[in-house]
Amino acid sequence: MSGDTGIISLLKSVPHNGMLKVQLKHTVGVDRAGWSRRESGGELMLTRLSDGNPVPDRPTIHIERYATQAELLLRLSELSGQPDLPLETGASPFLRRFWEYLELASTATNKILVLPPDPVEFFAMPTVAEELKVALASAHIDPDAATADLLNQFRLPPSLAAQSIGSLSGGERALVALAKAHALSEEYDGLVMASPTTWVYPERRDMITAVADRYVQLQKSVWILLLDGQWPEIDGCAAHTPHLISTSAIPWRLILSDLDVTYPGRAYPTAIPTKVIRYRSDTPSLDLDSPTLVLGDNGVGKSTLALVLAGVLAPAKGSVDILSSGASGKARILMQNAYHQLFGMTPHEHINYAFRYDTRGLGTTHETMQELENSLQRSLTGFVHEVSKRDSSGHLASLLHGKAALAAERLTERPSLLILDEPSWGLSHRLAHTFVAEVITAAHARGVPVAVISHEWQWAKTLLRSALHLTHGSEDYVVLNRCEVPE
Amino acid sequence: MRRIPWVLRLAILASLAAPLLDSTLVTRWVPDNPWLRVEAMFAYMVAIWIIIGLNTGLDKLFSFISVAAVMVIATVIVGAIVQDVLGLVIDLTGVAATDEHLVSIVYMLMVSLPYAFFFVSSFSVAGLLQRVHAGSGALPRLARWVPGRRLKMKLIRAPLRIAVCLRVFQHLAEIFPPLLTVWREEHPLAILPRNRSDWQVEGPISAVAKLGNWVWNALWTWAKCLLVFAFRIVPAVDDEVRRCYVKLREAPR
Repeated sequence: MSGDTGIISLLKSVPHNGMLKVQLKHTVGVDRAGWSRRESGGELMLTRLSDGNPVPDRPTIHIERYATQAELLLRLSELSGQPDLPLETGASPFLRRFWEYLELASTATNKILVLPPDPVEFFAMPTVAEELKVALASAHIDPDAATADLLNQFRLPPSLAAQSIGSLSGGERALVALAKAHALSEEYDGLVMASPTTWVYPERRDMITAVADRYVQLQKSVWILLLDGQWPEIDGCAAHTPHLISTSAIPWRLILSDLDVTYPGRAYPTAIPTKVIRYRSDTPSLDLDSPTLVLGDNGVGKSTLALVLAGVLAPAKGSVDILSSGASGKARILMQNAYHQLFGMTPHEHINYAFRYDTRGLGTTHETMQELENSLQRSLTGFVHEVSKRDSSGHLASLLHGKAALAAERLTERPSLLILDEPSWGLSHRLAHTFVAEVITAAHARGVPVAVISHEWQWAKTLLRSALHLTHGSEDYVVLNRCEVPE
Repeated sequence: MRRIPWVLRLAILASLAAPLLDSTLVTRWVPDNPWLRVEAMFAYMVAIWIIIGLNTGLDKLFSFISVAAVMVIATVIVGAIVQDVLGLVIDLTGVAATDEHLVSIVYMLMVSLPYAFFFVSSFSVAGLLQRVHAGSGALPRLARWVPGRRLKMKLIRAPLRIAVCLRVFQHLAEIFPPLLTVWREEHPLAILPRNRSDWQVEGPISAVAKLGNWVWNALWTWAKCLLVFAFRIVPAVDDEVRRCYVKLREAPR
């Protein structure tokens, strides 16, 4: 048992109006008997292992696909052998439920290692070095040398060892999680990876298969749980065929002037050096067409650039500005873990929170939300769970609606750019495509350009009109270039 | 501080914290004058800050102090208002003593929070597990003298519980930056809501009342988030610590 999907399920029931939006929509109300698993392609192996012994007789790589994150998480919970707590909300005090969870967790005997959909939930120690050293814990090896070897094997720089887990980008965390899973391969009977491709740059996907192969070599089984449309190459399943949206492109301009962003280091308890990302471009400004794909290797600085554009991070040197015809001010972001951005238990509570002191904005945002909900309902006929799930007050509530509420709130302000950072997280490609298409339609109607940061852009190929590529250049510079949307 | 052997480190840190438990350890050396006692506490606070600052650097120290300052605003100002309101209703005797008590609470909060962050970051969970491995025979030997099987097991497992608690408290400090990023995205001015066009519709008094309500909600939101995020790491840490402990215990020393 590893990871904390169980505790996430538990936390989903914590009643509060806080900044953390805990995901009651992920698991509440799903009927276990009514799973709608779908086979995608004839070669797909589906193994229903509900007999209490999830380890099959011979080692295999099982690839399973699910239509929604809720189904995927239930399967993850089943494979990991984690305690299945009652999920009704507000029925019992949080601490008692938490204690029950710990009691059950301490008696769990399942030895399947779980890489949850969000890699940050896989870590227990403060730094990369400590995480890998504890994973490698052995009296026989030199942990420092073994940690350096492991980082090298996963094409990560040695300097990453000193970094804190919190300072890593989503992609770097995913790669360190793979390195840790590799280090633990001899200790567990099997490995489950949930949506591993969401965070990993396509050119690094061989590392996912390398870890899976390692377990198989050791006669252990591997489950790769994917949402529909993710990583179609692995089992030859057909990728989602998206429909075309009817909006025209919106031009916008990125003006960059020797932009440096600094993440300060620290001296204590372990020395972490200051990290500086230097953004440069061949021309002082880049003319782009919305919707714009932002792509680049793991850790190159895509999310950092987004935070600077939104004014969350201040540049240490230089500047970056956005020029778009219909909007002004800073950009707004939907982050990778968008559900952390919800200030309320439900999407509607979030909107009410954000516009508590702005009646006009509240009305406009509810209208935008209604517009998005209606178009999602129309486009996603058949997705009963994701489209129709409601909270206790009758409002629609799912991860999809949470993201829609965040988008609606941001569009009311008409920012200079709406940035969707990995919007496909937690969504199948059909859901992601539909969500992004509807958000783009709504944004363009308001004159707001949209940028999509993604490692899995196949689902969005038909939507995107230009691409901004971030690459490592000489002298540690990160070079920004406009390019065509890659195939 | 981390270069000092852990026993000595623990002793130094414990002695630094002693006045937090008993403030007379600071004030007993000064003449019986309220202002001098307050100044002695101020000197103690500055001394602790200097020790923390020398170890962690100024940036870290200031971030610790800013968290403490928020706590002070939330607790002491409310206390002071209550005291003043009570003073209007009943004749409080010994108001000076109450003021001194409030000031001492301010100092203690301004010391204890940075100190707590410094204390938990002064020990490494990975290092603790290694030390448990190095001395893994000692606890079972000690447990022989303890009556009852449950108590014996509790003693043997004590380092694991300490390691988990230590890591959870360390994690509490680590979750600030990502939460702050989310907060800043939603609240660009940090201490005011992003959308506030109704703020002054009903006049300045209403604006002040709304601000007070908003600040209180913001503090409450932060407190809940910190609690939830701190707990969130427990299963992963518990699992990792137990696995590492068992593995090290099985390995030859």
